[in-house]
Amino acid sequence: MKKWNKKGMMDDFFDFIFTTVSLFFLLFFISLVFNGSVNSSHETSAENVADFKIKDAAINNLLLQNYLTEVNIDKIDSSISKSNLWNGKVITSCTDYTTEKDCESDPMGKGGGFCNWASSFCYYGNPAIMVG
Amino acid sequence: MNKKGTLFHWIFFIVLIALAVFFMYNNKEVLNVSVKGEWSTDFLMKNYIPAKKMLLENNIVAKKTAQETFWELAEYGGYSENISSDCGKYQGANLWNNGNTPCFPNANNIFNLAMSKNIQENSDKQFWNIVINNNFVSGKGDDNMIIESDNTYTFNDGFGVWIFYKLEDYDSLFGKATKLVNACNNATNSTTLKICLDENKPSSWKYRSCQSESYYEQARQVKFCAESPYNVHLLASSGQKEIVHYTFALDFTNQTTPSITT
Repeated sequence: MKKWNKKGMMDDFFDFIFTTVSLFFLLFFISLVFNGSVNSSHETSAENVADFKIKDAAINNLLLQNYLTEVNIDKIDSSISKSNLWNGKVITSCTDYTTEKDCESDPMGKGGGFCNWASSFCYYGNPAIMVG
Repeated sequence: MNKKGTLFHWIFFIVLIALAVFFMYNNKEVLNVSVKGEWSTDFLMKNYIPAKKMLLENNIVAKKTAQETFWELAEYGGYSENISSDCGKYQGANLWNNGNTPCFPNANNIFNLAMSKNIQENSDKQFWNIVINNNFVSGKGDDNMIIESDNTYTFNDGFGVWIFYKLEDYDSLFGKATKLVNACNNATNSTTLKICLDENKPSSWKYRSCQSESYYEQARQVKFCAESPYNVHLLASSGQKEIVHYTFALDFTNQTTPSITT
């Protein structure tokens, strides 16, 4: 019959602790690595979608601007790249402000002080005379 | 504890930490987790957005051309540079009648033809089936393709723009012109014709020119310049919005045949 050796038992116990701690750290690092790369992938994905949405909305804004006033064909690219997100809305030019207060304060500096509110729309410069 | 065993444990720990640090700083390259929706966003950014930008450019050119065409039609009294009234011209202005024979232009058809011609001058693309329907001007274009390494996007390179303009302006002018001709074609001489015109013509109608009005009549034909009855303003060549004015001529020859109608 085998005898329980105290030293042997201690060694086994430390081996067990060591294995547990090692496994804990191993799994911790693995999860950290995977989470890190997945999060980074998510961030890139979300950035791509946000970038698309801004560009798409900027083009829609220019279509609206072309309807209400005029759009300079040579400034399409710069207008799109200078579009900003403000209060959840993409602002490309004065025409994208939806309230009189926003139009006249022009927080995104799109009109350089020339955004004017008329007929429930925000215009750059003198409001267009519309008959519709 | 056995010293050799302890050393082995520590070596294992250090290797573990080294691996963790290596993976943490190089996780993108080593694990190479692909970005979700990468193909879709690439497709949208490289194909859809450029296509939409091209359509925006078409719309900008189309709106500018439509405005130029409206001015052209207004200058020629509803006709165009290439299409003249069957009743002839008086002082360069198209006559809207010849005695009791009406020669009112079909502004819709003439606009479509003139716009087709003008847009070819303003754009290097081909457009056809150009039509104006109420305030909407549209035209079809060729099927255009944007080809990228792993995808292709096909779209119709046409246009469709809303315009603050009413061709109904012409219907209103035709009605007023008919009334004026019917009221004054019985005037016996030049003097009574002038008096009749002064009394009956709308106040927004000027003789000869909208800028410097001067009455001039020859063989009972008079040239007019009329401001838009609906007060329509369009972007002019000056770069400013101006009220549209129409130039045309009317013939007040007294004839025994029935009066003209629109």
